[in-house]
Amino acid sequence: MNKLKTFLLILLIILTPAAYLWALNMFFIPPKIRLIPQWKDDVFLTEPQEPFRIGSNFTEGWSIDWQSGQENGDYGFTVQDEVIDLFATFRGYNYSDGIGFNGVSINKTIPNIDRQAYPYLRIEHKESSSDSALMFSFSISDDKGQWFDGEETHVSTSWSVLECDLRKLHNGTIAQISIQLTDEYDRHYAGDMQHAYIKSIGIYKQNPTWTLTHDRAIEANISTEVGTLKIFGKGNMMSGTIVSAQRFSNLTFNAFVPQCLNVSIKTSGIDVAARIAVWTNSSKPLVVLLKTYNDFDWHIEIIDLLSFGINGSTLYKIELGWQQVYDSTNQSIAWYRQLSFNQLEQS
Amino acid sequence: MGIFEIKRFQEILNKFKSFKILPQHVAPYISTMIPWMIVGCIIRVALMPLFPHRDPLALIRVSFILKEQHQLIPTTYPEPITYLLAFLYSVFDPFLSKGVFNDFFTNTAYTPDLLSVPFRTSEPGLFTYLFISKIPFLAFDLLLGLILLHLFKDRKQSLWAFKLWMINPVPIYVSYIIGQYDIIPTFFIMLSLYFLQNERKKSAMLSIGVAGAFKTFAFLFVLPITLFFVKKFRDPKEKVVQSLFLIVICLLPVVLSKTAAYFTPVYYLPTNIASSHFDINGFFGNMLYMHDQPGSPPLIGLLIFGLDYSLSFKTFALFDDVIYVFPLIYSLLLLTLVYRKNLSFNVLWKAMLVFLLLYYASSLFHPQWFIYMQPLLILLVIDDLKFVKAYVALIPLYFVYILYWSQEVLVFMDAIGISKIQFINLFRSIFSGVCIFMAALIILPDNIIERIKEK
Repeated sequence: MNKLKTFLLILLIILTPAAYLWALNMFFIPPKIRLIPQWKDDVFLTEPQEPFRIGSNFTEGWSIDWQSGQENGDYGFTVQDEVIDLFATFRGYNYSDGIGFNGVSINKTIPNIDRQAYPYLRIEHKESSSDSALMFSFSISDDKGQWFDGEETHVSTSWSVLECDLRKLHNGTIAQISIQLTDEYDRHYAGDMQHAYIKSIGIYKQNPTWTLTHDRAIEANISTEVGTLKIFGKGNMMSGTIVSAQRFSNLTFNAFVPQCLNVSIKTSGIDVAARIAVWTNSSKPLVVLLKTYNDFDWHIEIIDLLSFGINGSTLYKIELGWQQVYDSTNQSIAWYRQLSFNQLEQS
Repeated sequence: MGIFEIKRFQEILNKFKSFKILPQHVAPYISTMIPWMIVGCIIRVALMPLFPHRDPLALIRVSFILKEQHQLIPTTYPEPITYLLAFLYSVFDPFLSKGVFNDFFTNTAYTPDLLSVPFRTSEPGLFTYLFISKIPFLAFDLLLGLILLHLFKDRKQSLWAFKLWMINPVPIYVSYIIGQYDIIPTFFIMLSLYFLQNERKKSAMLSIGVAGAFKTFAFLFVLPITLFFVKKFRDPKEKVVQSLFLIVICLLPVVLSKTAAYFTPVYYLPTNIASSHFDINGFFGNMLYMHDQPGSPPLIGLLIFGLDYSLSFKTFALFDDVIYVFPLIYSLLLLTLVYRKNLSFNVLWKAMLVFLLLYYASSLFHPQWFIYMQPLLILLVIDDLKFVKAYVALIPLYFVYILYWSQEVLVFMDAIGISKIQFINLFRSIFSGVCIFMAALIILPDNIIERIKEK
């Protein structure tokens, strides 16, 4: 009888919690939490789309537009291996012309194109020096000969891209484009002969949404393969070197405040940390991810933006990239795919 | 096997046979204990599958990965609890839903880790995880109740201690609501005291060692217990040898668990350095987790808990001359025990309790750490009823103190213009006052207390 009592007691001790658990699991189904994507980028455009090339080999249509403070033989342009070499000589303040600056400009007449469909101008260029006095710039003119000054930039010895949405300069017909190399950042500049090399000038249907940025002089690039953004760098990479793909455009989320950033990441090794920075304004980035992975595998990261104090419906910029953890001369790569901004939903 | 070994083996066997779960002076009154035990168990079992707190969820995940991958995440959690839970998950594997930790299978990371909580709690099967994870807590909790029965020789006192333990809200809250495993080291500390009372020094040292392997805090009691055992030796050389021997015994569990951890492959869990200070593991700090090593050594975490959490005084010297209260009161504990001629069981546990009371009065402590004092408080209250009033005041004050970790409960106070943190600080100060008062009441001789009463 006692044994039966003990057996029944043990059965009760086991069965009661089991029944309680069963009831909890059956009747108290917790609401499911899901990420609802409100904005996503799974294309990662890093190259301009459908170009209308103005200067593919630069053999036709280009001529000297004007020169300032130059003598014969001091200025001009040549074409070699489909790269135009625009050169001018700088000997200090230009007293003779009374306008002070030195430089040269070339121009070309553009055939009529639908600029609503082809709004983006891109110029790939580099220069023979990085002297801060020198300015590389462009202008466009309408069919009545009125000129509109476009973007201007400091010269650089590495290839860089000058980009512009032409609709912001002029909304009518564009008849001509001109390229200038001048000393307008310092009219007393005396650097002798300087060259600007132009690889391509094109007007595109769509500009790349993602562009490269890096904080040290290394060899770096970004590319897209089947919806995957690849950020690559090699050379003398010191610890702390940052290479990123950055996006400025279309980061307004139509009044919804994104709570979670969701993205898949893979890195080339644990000597490089995946880095994501969000800019809510132009002053300072908020780094929301800096993390190493050791398995060369994809990792889904879900980042609570609110916990980083990011609670607006507009972002200024987003950077996807990597930061070198140890000094290295090997290549470092980070891959990103399926970027989205999400809301959390209970259902 | 020689005759001597056989006899020794038989002795041990007889000891086990003669051991009774219930002490003889209580056994006939089991019927009065059963209702309390049933009520205590119902409360505990009802709470076990509920309340998915962030900390146990992290511990469950670490143990789950150990079970699935046979890889250990070197977290703040000591290895024994991880191994224990991983073993339990292996036993109950058919009942456990893998969905709760689907981030493990999909390689998903949540930043900060707190974000994982709503995802995990929305998965079916979480109740079962919580229930199974808390089974050891229930077992050690009930065993601790039995130890309290053994620590008193008087029937009434034993039964009251057991009853008080079964309905004590602190262990119930710590173990079953916030799901912390501190009940396990607390049990082993009390087991050590039980062995100490019975003059079984190796068992006592081994028990305190097991407690220390589960929570480093328990190692604070190694020296007091060692002092208790070596006091009786007159020869200083023998004292030193015995002390070293006992300390070696108590270190065995931690050496064993560290050895097991050393041979267990490490699971690479990187830290997001961009997370805020509060979202990063307190032990590893705001450092990248790289090459299978944490960014900063765990010792830094211990120093944070031991020193930064402690009340301290700064002198006006040319350099940072800081006096921390925590090591100060620990020194007082040790010196008291060293200078006292005779150490009895009662003196030792009261000294430990005074130390704990002063520690809680002067340091920030996590809610679960308050459980270490609970069995000793019950011993005190049952042993001397004059402490009842202070004890009754202390428990509700503790439940106000823990609002430091859930200040959102008091958000209505901001609306009526009262600072909620000031409100908690006020009650925390009273809590410290009660602790210091109880410590003073224990320390002061009875005749002085009587004189104070008369005045």
